Amino acid sequence: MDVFSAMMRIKEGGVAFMDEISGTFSESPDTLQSPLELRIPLIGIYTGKGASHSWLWAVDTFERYGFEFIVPFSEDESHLISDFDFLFVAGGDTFALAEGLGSDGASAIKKFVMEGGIYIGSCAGAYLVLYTSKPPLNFFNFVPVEIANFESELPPVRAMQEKAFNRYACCFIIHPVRDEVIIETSPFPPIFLKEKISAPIFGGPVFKEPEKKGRVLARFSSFTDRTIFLFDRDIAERILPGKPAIVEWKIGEGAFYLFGPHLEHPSFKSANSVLLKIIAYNTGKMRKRNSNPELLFRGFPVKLSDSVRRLVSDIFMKALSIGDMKAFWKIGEKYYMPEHLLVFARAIHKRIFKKKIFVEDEETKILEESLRISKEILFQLTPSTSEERMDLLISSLKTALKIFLRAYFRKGEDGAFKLSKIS
Amino acid sequence: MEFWNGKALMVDLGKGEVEDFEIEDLISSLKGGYEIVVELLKRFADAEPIVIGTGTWTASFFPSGCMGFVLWKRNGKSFCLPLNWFFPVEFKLTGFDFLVIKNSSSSPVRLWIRDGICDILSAENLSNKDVWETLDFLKEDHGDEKVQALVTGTGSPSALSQGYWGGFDSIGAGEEFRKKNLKAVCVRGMGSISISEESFKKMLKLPRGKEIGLSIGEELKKFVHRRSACFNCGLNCYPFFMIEDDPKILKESEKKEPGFIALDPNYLKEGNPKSTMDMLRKGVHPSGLKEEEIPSSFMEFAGVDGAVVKELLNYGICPLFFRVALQTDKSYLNF
Repeated sequence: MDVFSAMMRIKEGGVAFMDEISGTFSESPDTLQSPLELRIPLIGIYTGKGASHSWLWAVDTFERYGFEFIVPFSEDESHLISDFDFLFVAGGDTFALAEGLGSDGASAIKKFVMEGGIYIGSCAGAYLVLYTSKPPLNFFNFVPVEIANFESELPPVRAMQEKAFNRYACCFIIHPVRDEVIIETSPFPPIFLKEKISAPIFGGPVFKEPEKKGRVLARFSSFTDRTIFLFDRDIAERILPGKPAIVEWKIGEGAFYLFGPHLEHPSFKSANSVLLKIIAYNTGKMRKRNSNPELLFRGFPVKLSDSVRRLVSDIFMKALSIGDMKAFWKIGEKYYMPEHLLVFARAIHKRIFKKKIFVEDEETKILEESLRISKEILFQLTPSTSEERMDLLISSLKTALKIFLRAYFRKGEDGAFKLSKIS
Repeated sequence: MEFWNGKALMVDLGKGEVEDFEIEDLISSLKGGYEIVVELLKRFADAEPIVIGTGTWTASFFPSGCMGFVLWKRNGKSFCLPLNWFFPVEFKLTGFDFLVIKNSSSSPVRLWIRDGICDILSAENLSNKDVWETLDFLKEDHGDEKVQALVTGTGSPSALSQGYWGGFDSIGAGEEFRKKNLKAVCVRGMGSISISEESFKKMLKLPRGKEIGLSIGEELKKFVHRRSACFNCGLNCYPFFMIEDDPKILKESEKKEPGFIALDPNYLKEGNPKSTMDMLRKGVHPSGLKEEEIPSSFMEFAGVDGAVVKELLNYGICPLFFRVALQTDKSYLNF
C-alpha cells in the first residue's frame, strides 16, 4: 500500500496506518513495528493578500487524494489558524503575504507551530518564514535558514526577464530555472525513501545548509528537457545541484516544512507523494486538535442559484477565450498573465455544477458580488487594463473562491465542520 | 451514462419558460439520437416543436462524431436538416442532448445555452441583421469567439445558417425559426461527456480517414487558402476561400471578412465567390426552398441515401466519413 491508497482508504471510511520506523503503509497495525494511525487532517490554506493562484494546485491535489477537510482563509481570518492541523501557504508575492498576514498573523502562526501545528510553505510561503531584517517580513523570522539563490550582482538574463529575479535591498534574489527539475529525497522520516523525482519550481527558494534544528528532506539534483534556464546554464549548475530543496525545521511541538519546488502541483504525482507522506506522518504523530464544536454544520446542502451559476459560467468562458492574450500585469512583486485567470475560473467552474454545498445566505451574497465584480472587469479586460483593475479582479476571484471552496468542502452534521464566523 | 448527458432542454417560447427533463429511459430503449427525436416530436406534437438533436457519439472520440440535426413537422410531414461542423458538439457539451423548442414567441428572441443553463434573450436589435452581423453580435455579447450558433439572416426564404458558413438548409428550417420568432440558438460547450476507458481505446483504433479531393473548378481552386474539418474528422472537406486577401499568405488575414467556407458545396456551383459570400451573409440557400424530407444537397455531399443518413444520425457520425473512411462497414458501429 502506498500513501495514495492509504489516504483514499481513509476517505472511503476505512483505516490505514504508517510505520513510524520504516514509513510503510498498511491497513493493519499488526504488520507494522510502530504503527501511526492516519486520519484526514484539517488543512487551512491561505488565500488572502499576496497569495497567487498556486494555492489552487494544493486544493486540487488534496481533494484528489482524499484530504477534503480544507479551509481556505484570508488575511483577516488569522484567528482561524489555531483550529487547523496543517497550515499551507503557497506561492505569490512574499512581501504582500507578510503585509497581509501582518503581526497578528505572524503571532498566530508562531503559536500554532509551537503548540504542535505543521506549517507547510511552498515557494513564497517558504521565503515568508525565513529570517530577514526587512519589515514587515521580519515579523516572520521563524526559520534561520539562508538561501543560495541570492546574488550581489545581477547576471545577464537569458529568458523571461520579468520572472528571472526580484530586487532585495541592494542585491537580487535570482531564479536560475523554471519548470521541471529533479530533486533527490532523503531516506529518513517522514519521507523514508531516497529517490529522484521531478517537481516544478517557479521562483522558489534554493536553501543553504540548515543548522541546529534543521534537516534536509530533499536536495536539488539535476535538470530535464523541460527545465527553462533564465540565466546561463552554468549559473544554474552552480546554484542548484546538491543544495537543499525541502527543509524541515522543528519548533516547540510543531514544525515548518519549506519547499523550493511546488510539491503540491497536481501534474507531478511523485512530488505529491512526498507532500502526502509529510502530512500522513505528521498527522499520525499529532494529537487531534480540531474538536471545536463551532466547526459543526447544521443545515442542508443547497444548489447555488442560477444567477451565481451564470456568473461562473460567463467568467470561465471569458477566461478560456482570453487565454492566449499577450499581456501581463505586475501586482506588487508578482506578474499575472491571462492564463492565471483561467486557473481561478476553472477551479470554481469545475466544481460548481458537481454537487450541492453547505452555504449560508450571507456567504452567497459575498460570493455573488465578488463574481459580479470579477465578470465586469474580465469582460472589459485588454492588455492596457490598469494594474489596479487587475488587482481588484484577482482579489475578487480569490474572495469568490475562498467562499465557494469553504462551502464546497463542508460536510453534513456527522463530524463535519463549519467555520461560521467568517468575514 | 456513457456518451450522453441524459437530459433534454425544453424551451416554451410562448410562455417564455425553460425547463429540463431526464431522458435516460429514451436513451436506453431507443437506438440513438434520431429515433429519440422522432419520439420527442410525437410527445410534444401539440406545441409544434422544432427539436435539435445529437447522436450517441456526437462529441466523442469516434472519428467524425460531429453530427446533429434539426427535426420538425410541417403539414404533417417530417423534415430533417443534418448539422455538421461544430454546433452539435458544442451543444452536447452544454449538458443537454436534445433541445425541444415549443410554440412561438410574441417578439424576436434568441436562446443562449451553456453549462446546463438556458436564457431566452431579446433579439429585437437583431431583426434586420444578416447572418454575419448576428454572429458578430453574439460573439461580442457573450464575450467568446468560440460560441457556435444556428442563425437566420435577412434572406427570403430564410435558410438556417450554421455559424458564418451556411449549411444544407434548403428545406425550410430557417423559415420554421422565423415562424417562432427565433433569431438564433447560441451555445458554448464547456462540459464533458462520460466515455469509458474501453470505449476510448476502441475509438482510437478506428480509421481516421484522410483528406479527400476537392471537386471544385480551377478558378475557385486559386482562392483556396487552407483546408478545415468538422470536429474530430480526418477528411478535411472544407476549403477556406481567401477572396479579399492573397490566398498564398500563411497567416490569418487581418481583414474583417477576408473570405469564406461553404458547408454545402452547392454554394460554389455558380463559381462566383463574391455572390457565394453574399448568400452566406444574407442566409439564403442556393437551392431556395424544396419540399424534401432530407436536403438532396446533403445526400449528394455524403453520397448516401436518406435511410443511411437517418441511421447515422442515431450515432452522430458523418455519413460521408462512413462511406469514405469506414467503407460503409457497419461492424464499426457495433460497440
